[in-house]
Amino acid sequence: MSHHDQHDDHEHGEHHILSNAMGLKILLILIVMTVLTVVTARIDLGHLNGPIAIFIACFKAMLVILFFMGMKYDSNDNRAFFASSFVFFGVFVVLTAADVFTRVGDWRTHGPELKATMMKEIQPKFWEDSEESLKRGATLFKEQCVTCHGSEGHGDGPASAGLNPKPRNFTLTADWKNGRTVTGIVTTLNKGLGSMPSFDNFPLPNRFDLAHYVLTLNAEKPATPTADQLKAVGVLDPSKDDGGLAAGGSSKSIPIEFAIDRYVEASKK
Amino acid sequence: MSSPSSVDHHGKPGEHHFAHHFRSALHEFVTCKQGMWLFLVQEVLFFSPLFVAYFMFRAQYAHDFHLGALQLDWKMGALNTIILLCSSYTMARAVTASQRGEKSIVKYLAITFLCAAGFLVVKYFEYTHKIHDGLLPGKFMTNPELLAEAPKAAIFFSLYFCMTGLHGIHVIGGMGVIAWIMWRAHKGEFGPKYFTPVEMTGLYWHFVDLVWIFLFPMLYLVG
Ligand code: HEC
Repeated sequence: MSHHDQHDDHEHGEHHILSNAMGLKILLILIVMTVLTVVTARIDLGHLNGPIAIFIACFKAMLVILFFMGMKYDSNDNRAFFASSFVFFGVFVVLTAADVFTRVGDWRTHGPELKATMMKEIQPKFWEDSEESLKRGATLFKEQCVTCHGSEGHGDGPASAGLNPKPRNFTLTADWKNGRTVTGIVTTLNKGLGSMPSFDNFPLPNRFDLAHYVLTLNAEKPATPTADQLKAVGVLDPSKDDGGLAAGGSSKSIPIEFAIDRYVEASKK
Repeated sequence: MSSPSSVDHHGKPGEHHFAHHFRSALHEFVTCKQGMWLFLVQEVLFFSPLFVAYFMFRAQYAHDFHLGALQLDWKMGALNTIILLCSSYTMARAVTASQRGEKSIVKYLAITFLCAAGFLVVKYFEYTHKIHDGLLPGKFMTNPELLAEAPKAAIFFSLYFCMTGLHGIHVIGGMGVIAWIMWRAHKGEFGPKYFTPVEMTGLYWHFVDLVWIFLFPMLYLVG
């Protein structure tokens, strides 16, 4: 070890002095490269803009590392150290991408379907039951709820195993915490309940679609919601056709929303 | 403490006695430098989560990120890039000067320090402008046009402030170290035999430049 160190000192430890002329040359190249990035970025090259900018940045970084930081004259140990940090960065990027972009396993097949389901425009009296509403609700349910609540709504989806209390069994009428009513279910979707996440990133009309669908899983029909109940869950003005929503609501982001945006992206291609 | 080689830290200016656990001054220098590179490895990993987050979110919300990036003033960003590149150059000159025992080291460190200060002044103007326009992270983004057209630009601005903020903290830290090194250079502590602190500060400062070389195109240009 000590022998090796001595060898190392001798071989690479000599001080390298960057000459002023060389330093200036590097600075000039770096500035020219900066101008080049700005120019290329301002020309629209579509998808190439990003990679080109990163490529130029890598080149500039290389110059700084090799000459200003003197890596060109440094020991192999130090080179290996610094290079390793970028290797780990690469691992970080690849593993994260592998997770993020494969998370919703079936987004390719269901993307267009789900996109068609998400409401772009507010339909008149969307809080009332209708055949289209039920169809949309069924699609959304299949996409977003079956993992926990099961495909038949028995509360026995694959993800239910680890949950306590268990996801609600929609075929039963007992034990509903927010009530087995349209507005009760929308309340659950708005706020979440225990380990059930909130779905407040869905357009409000779609939350009503889900509620209508969930209620079909048991033959007993609950009472139609009153105006006050509707107001309490976000229908600002039930006397208007659009529920007073035209002014626009806000949406928050939770992971599910990633999926939806990706569905929309995927269907554009 | 009794080791003859470790005693005098207050010798004549320009003289340095390496610590007793090193074989030679060169051994001490090489070891310090290795430690510095390891620190920089850690720095790369310290910044990398933000870069990873940027890449992942940009891949998903390319359009919103683009509109967000258009809100930044690329001229300011380019100006700051040039400032930092020049400061990297003057830092390299300071290291060279100390290696050659030239008095100009103090001058070059001072210019580097001023460049860093200039960088922060530009950043200050950018930040106040962004805050004024409601271009803020996450739920604090209140800019009406972006909220309507590109709500996910809020993520862009979260990343913008985190990345430039963390980088800015590094600039401020660097200024502190440069000021300290400048003081020691002024007292004549460095020369051809001993310039380790100057070179290590140089490595750190070039790293700060390195991060900005990537931040500029990512945030200001392609978004
Ligand atoms: C992560 C698993 C999970 C997902 C996904 C999920 N739920 Fe739930 N859900 C639960 C759990 C657990 C409960 C029971 C919570 C409790 O009792 O504290 C529940 C309860 C409910 C209830 C009963 C509320 C009440 O008043 O008691 C409704 C209604 C409901 N979920 C609807 C849905 C709908 C609609 C979806 C799809 C948009 C959905 N859930 C997705 C886990 C989930």
